[in-house]
Amino acid sequence: MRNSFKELEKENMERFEKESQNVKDKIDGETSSFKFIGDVLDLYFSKVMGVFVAMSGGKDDDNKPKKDNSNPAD
Amino acid sequence: MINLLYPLLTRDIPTTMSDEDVIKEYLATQNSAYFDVLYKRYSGKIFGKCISLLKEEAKAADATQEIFMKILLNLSKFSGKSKFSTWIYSITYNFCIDVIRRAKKDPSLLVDDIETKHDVVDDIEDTYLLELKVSRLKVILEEIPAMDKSFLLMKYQDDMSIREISEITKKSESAVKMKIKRAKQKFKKTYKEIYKEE
Repeated sequence: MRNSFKELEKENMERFEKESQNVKDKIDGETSSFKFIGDVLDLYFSKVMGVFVAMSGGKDDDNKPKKDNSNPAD
Repeated sequence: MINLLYPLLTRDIPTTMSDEDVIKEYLATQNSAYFDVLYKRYSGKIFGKCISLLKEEAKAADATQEIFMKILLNLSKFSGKSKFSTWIYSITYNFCIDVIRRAKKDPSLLVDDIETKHDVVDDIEDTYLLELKVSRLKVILEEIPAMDKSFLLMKYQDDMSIREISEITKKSESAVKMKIKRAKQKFKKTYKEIYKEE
């Protein structure tokens, strides 16, 4: 049996072909921006949190004295 | 390491790979080639629904972009309970209906639930709609309210079951059946008004 709805869908899909790459580029641009913001937050968020912890009187993990592993007997 | 040196290309992904497997791989690797596969498979269909509902090509293209962003950001929430196509079409229909509702262009979306269940509606054969000329189908779909149009598209274009439509629209199955009957009736009435001579 014919299905005019499917035929219409096919027609619309063909219509999208010329616009497809343009839309894809915009999506890629938007995802790159999200990724960039995510990377920036990832990089600096822990540092900012460390500053807040230090300001509120806590100890910043970065200032912890490093464990001396030079003596294997420890 | 090999992946970094030789990034995966869309053409390297087998076309037979199921949507669910493509999603799993995308979530595991974040490799955009997997998302490109989903885009290739569904962007045309999504655009088609958007243009049927929003009527303008530029608006449909913008909507397609926004819908894909929604899909991308919510991909991890896809549970696999329904087919992936049903899930993305649900996002598509809800997005478009929301756009029309916000523009207040279609009063049918505001009085959607006022109609009573008990009205008697004659059933119209599916062949009446399915065997229509595409040019005429387009004209009628332009004229009927967006909500009726979306029910007809879900049933006849997307081959969704009553249960699937009921899940998407959050209406009972009997309400969905009634909505489809009413949409067909409006379709026929509009057809007769436009093509009077036949």
